Amino acid sequence: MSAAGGAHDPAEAETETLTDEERIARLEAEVAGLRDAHTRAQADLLNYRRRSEQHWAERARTTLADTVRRYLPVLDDLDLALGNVDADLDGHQWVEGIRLVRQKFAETLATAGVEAIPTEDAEFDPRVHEAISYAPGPGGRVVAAVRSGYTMQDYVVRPAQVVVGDGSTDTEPTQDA
Amino acid sequence: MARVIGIDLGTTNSAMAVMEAGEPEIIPNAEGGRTTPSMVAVTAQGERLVGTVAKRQAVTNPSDTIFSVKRLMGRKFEDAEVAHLRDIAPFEITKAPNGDALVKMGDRDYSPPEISAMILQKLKADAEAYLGEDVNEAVITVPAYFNDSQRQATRDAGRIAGLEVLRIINEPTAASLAYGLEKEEDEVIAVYDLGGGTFDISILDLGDGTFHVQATNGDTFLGGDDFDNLLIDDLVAEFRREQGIDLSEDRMALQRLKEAAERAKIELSSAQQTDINLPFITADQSGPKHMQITLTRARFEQLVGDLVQRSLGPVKSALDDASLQPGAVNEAVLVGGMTRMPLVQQQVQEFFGKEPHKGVNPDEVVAIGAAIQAGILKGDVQDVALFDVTPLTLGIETLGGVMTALIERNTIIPTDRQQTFSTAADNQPSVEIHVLQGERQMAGDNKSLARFILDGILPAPRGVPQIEVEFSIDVNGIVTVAARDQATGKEQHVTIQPASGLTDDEVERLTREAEEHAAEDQARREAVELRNMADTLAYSAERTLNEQAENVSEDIKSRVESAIADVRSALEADDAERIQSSSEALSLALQEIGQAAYGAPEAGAAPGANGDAAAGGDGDDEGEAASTVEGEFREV
Repeated sequence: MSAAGGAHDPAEAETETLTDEERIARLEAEVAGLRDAHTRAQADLLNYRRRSEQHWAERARTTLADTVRRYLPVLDDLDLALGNVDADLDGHQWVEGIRLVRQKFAETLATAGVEAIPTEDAEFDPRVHEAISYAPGPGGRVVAAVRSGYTMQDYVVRPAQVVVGDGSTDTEPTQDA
Repeated sequence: MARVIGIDLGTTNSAMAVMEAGEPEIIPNAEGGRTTPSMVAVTAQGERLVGTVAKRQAVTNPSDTIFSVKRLMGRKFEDAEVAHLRDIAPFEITKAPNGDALVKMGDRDYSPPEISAMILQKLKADAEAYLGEDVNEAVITVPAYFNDSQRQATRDAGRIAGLEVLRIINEPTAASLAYGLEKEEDEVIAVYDLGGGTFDISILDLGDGTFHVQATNGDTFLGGDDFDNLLIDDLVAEFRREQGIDLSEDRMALQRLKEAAERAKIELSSAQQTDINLPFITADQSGPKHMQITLTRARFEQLVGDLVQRSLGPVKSALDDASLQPGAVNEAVLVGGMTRMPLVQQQVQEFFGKEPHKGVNPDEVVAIGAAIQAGILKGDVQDVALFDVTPLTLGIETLGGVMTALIERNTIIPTDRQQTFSTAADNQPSVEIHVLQGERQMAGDNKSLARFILDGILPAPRGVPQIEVEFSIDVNGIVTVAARDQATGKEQHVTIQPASGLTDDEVERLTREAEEHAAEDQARREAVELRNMADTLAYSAERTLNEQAENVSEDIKSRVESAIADVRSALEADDAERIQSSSEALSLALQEIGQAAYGAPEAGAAPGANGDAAAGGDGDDEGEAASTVEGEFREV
């Protein structure tokens, strides 16, 4: 049963006559093997425990990030709705109410450490931005944000989807994605 | 001892795993993902990007973002597969002087192994960060159809990345290992692998613990993306029909549709229908337009049915090549994210006439299998195989014929557990330890392993003596049960030889029976526990009444006595409802004693012979038994 027993099993060889020295040497070798296996098993356990703690901390973070990620499309849709307000309704109290709802949503996320990824005039960074198209504009810079991105405690919950300038112009970016 | 990681170096995505305390576990990448896109890029500034970040910038840097490099491994520029990729890839594929295919990235040409090495380097670095130690050795998987030069190219990639490749194994073999199929004998295994971009079918023959590839086939351009695209096309068409607007030219709308389609596909694996709800998807003169479509699983299956059918062609060819009928296949194994789709599972099951092996994460099984192979090479897995578990729960019989478990089934041995019990009657001189094995709640339904008696217990009220019972299983499965009276130190024990003659079939039967009877057993157990609780309560009430005789009025005394009589008569009648209600009434009546006792300061004298301070307390006498005693022996 012992893990170290496989290589030199003294029980197998008991039929040969052994001198005391030989027996001691064998037993010492066996003890050394067992001690080694035992130390390894202990080290494995300690390592496993340490990683297990890390794992659970990570798990808590990813679970929260997953939950936040599921709610983000609702925020996206509110942004779209507010971005498409008919000129006649602009400034209407009802629209203002929806704006407050959106603000409250974002503030609630902020309490969980969720922050919007800056895109305005930002340099394109694939660690936090996901390019979905290329458009005339300064090269390597974000010329339009298609969908907001968010981080949570330095962890990218969702990258911001952006349009990246193709370097054809150094002037103001076009908003027409 | 440094650890060896198992790597599934995929066409679209790669994954890695490691043996962790004897179990394979996926290693997440630095971004937290369980799989890593097999993509590499060099930016205009000369920065090299690998994985998710390379994928995110692909649109802005198509000619210097390399994907699907696996399709080029060990291939010549003139090969048909290379020609196909040349037609569709936005990056340049060039020809080496020796005729090999190379890719151009940034300002130089790279061999496919160099690109693969960049992916492996990232995986290695992420694994090192996760494990907190250097990783220098790996097992890497390749498709079963890879020839020697493709395998050598993969090995080279590992070496360039600073990894010694201990073994290159076939992906279907890794998948079979992940499902533990190497333990079977002389079987034919079909591995159906439908991933993101490619479909592979492999027929393996398992004999003498070795997997031999009998035949392989597949479709190098069939995968999950094709399913998504069909769904997106259908949604675009439906929107055009309803609103008269074509979304296929609107990049932003398409991006949202793509994500919604992917999500819908995943949801339809478990739900019968899902809503695709994309407000403000576009706008025209009349104002904003929304997409709201309910997609049923039936509709989705109708859409992609041809794709699933298409996969069966190569399956038939592979079987023909192996000269086998579908019925000759003993095990079917599903690999790849698309095999989560119920239609795929159903078609594979119908084709082979047996339920396929499928895991929760079919896109991780190849990496898992590679880690198991790594463990076998390092001896980890062998060590683990040496650990044994107790097949069934071990415990003892306690008051009312209940089985009280001490060692749960599947506990790794050697192990030992202790628990303290007490007596069920006043002045009980001995207890019987009835050792049981099984999963049922009632003692009588389980297998009796041994009985022995511990006597010489000093006269004491019930619940006072402390009998420690210890179960110990050694490495050979030999169970020793010992019982010790804490007061006298007197001990008895019994040793039971391993397994108790239970065959694997018996273990399975007993476990199955336990599952089948779980509800009724639970009800019986609860009934017994209710009786035990009521009996203890009545007993404690009597004792409390005696002890507090001076502090309580006749009025309270008669009320409590009558409540005790009610409980006893309910117990006599074995009427569960009455036992419950009369116990509650008795509990309330007992509180009056508590109130009276607190009103009389001389109450709550030394615990004395009864050894328990609960008597002068708040009347909640259940606590007395519950504090140290979890079960009680039957009187012998």
